[in-house]
Amino acid sequence: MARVLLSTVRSYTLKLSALQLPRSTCVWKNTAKHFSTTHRQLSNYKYTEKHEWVAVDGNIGTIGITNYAQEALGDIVYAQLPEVETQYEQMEECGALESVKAASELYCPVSGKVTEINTAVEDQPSLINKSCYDEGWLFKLELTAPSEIDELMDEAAYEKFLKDSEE
Amino acid sequence: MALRKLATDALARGVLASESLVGKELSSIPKAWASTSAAVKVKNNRKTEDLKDLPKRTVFISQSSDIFSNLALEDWLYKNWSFERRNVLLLWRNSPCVVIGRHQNPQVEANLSYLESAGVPLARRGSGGGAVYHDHGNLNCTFFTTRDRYDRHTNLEMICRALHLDFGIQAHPNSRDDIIMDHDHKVSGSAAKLGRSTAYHHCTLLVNTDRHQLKLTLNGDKSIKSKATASTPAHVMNLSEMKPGITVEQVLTSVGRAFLGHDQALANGFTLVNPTDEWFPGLGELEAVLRSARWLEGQTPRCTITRSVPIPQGLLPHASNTSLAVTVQAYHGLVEEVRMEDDTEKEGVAELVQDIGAGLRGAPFSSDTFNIIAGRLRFSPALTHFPLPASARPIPTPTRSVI
Repeated sequence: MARVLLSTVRSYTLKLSALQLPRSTCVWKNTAKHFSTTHRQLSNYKYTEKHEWVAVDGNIGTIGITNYAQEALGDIVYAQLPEVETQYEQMEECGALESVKAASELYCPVSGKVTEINTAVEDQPSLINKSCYDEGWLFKLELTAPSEIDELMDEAAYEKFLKDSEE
Repeated sequence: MALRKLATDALARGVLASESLVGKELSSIPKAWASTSAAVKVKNNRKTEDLKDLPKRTVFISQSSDIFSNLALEDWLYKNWSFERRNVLLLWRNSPCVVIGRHQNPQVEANLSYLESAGVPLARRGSGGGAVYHDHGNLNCTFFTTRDRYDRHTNLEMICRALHLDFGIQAHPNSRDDIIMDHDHKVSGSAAKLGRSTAYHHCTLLVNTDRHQLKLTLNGDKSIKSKATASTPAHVMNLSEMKPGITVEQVLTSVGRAFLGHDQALANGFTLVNPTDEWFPGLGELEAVLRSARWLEGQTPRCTITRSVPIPQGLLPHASNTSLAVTVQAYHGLVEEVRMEDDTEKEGVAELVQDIGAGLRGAPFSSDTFNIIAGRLRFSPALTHFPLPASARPIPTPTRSVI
């Protein structure tokens, strides 16, 4: 009986989360950026030129894609994440994000060994579109070359990079 | 580099060969094409750029009709070449085969037992999208560009203009980047792969495909639940139904010519290529990966399949129960979990099913998996005291090997 109730509640909440918010237009893009900026003030986020972010906590780095990348891809329908315990070099191909028939490669921004993948994103790829800095994180890895982090852009440098490339 | 020398040799050979190939077809293409070419229109729309900065255009025609060699060639060009200074169009055809998208489930998309009996191979490509059927009546076009110049719609518009100007066929790309003819019939589907600096967009073009075979092969098991990319079914149509007598060679020439455009300085002509290790060092390894079970089955997303498994009568509380709903969860082609679906069950049976699941974990998932589960349920030592009715005879083990 309880199981039946639970499954009903579960399917109801799933239906609710399936309601998509309207896609952001140019104006919305800027507001969305500000909102997510305040959200991630606390962590130490670094960025790559290919619009991936790394948040370092001790020796573990969490990896995801930025708002710019998520918008460029469109609605993500499937996330193929790397396998746990696999070692990757910086810039090595480690997975793919599929959106509207285009499969975009995922590149590892820093070298390391994968310790955890975000299974929520496997079940619900739209999390990457809705919350790319928070719930839409992709995977965590144990850094093997922490010095690579210093070569990446910080938030100010990344914002400047975006402005320069828009010209 | 060795390849450049080979390519120049090939170019010399290719130009000669393509002339003989193209010679007959050229005379049939209307002259009006030349003066009102799509390529001229495109040039006028472009911002004024120095001619030297514009990328040169080359058309490659693959000499192989093996799906794995051709997919490997596509992968090779994508991984090894830079497209800053050139745009490449690769034109290829395959013997009958089914190609599924990067994140699809073969069992859901194709009728695997029919494929095996008909000798039609199954391949998985590196780009996203749905499942398609290829044969000699289908032309594949792959447009290679840099990531910045990736533009599906322009490529498809170019194809439609070529079809219209050379054959009088009215077709147009829709919002899903399919080419539609006759209101809602699909003649082409697209998919793409985007990398760090390179991207490719490829599409099919149904000229003269066996539609009956297409329907029989793309008839998979839709009861499987998963997050895999689903194919969007569509009414398909051949170009030959609109323009009888049209051949793949004619369409190949037309599309190739439209791609090269009118600018002699930018057009590098047609080149015949052979997807082998001698022409493209390292191609063999890429082909081996595409043929491997790890790529074909190992990329399959998590899925759950529920079937009824026959069991000894009396095992479950209701005396009339002769079957049990069992769910198998598979990930990357391997069994992950086996569980029972019925709520009202005896403690012992649920545990039994879980034990079977533990035993099968990591084994390849195939059409035989449910038979194996049924066998283990029936002949488990815990159930030896249950009398076997005549209806629960052991299922004969199939003689063909597991996929």
